[in-house]
Amino acid sequence: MLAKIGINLISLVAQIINFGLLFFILSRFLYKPLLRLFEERAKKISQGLKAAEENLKEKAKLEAQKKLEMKKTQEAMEKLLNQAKIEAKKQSALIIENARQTAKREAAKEAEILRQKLYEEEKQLKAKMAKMVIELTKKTLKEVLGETEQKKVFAHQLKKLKSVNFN
Amino acid sequence: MEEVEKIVTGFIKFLRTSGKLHLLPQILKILKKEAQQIEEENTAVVTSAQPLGEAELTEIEKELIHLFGHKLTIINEVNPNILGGFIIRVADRIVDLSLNNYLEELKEKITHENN
Repeated sequence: MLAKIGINLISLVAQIINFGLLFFILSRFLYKPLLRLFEERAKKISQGLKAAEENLKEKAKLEAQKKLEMKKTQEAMEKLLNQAKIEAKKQSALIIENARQTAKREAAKEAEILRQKLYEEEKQLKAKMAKMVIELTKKTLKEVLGETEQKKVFAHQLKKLKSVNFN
Repeated sequence: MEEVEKIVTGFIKFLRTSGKLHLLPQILKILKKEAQQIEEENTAVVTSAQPLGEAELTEIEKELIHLFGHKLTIINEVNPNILGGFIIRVADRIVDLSLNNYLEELKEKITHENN
C-alpha cells in the first residue's frame, strides 16, 4: 500500500530513525542549551527591563523630589529675599531717621553757637557803647558842672549818706 | 596831761620793779600802732571834686556823728576826677557817693544787663 503511494518503507523507517536521531541530538545538544540561553537572555532582558523601569521610577521619584526641593528652596529664597527687603527697608528708614536727627542736632548746635556768638558780640558792643557814653558823660560833666551844680550834687548825695551803713 | 604823766610813770615803775623794762621798745611799737589805729578810726577823709565849704563840712560832720556816735576829725582832699559828690574813708571803710562811682555803676549795669 505504501509502495502504491510511492513510499519506501525502509527509507521511511530510516528517515524516521534519522529524524529521531536528529531530534535526539538536536534536543540534547542544541535545542536545550539554546532554550536555556534564550531563557537566560529573556530573564536578563526582563531583569534589564525591570531595572530600567525601576530606574525610571527612581528617576521620576528623584525628579519629583528635586522639584519639591527646588520649590522649597525657591520658597525659602523668596522668604529670605522678602525678609531681606523688609529688613533693608527698616535699616534704610532707620539710617534716614538717624541722619535726620543728627542733622537736626547739628543744626541746633550751630544755631546755639551762632546765638552765643551774637550774644557775646552784642555784649561787647554794649560794653563798648556804655564805656563810650560814660566817658563822654564824664568829660562833659567835668566841663559843665559849676559851683552851683556841685552844691546840688553834694546836697543830693548827702541825703544818701543818711541811709548808708558804714559797717 | 598830768594824769597821763602819772599813768606813764606808774607803768614804767611797774616794768622796772617786775624786771621787764627791757620790753619797753616793743611795748612802744605796739602802743604807736594802737594810737595810729585809734587816730584812723577817729579821722574821716572826705574826697570831693572841689574844696568843700564850712557849711558842707559841718553837714558831713553831723551825719558822721549820727553814724559813728562820736565826733570825727575831717580831712578834705580834692580830686577833680570824682566829678561831683564825695567819698568818705574812715580807717579801712569807704563810702563812695561820687558822680564818678555812680557813672561806673551805671556802666556796669548797662554792660551786664540781660537782653
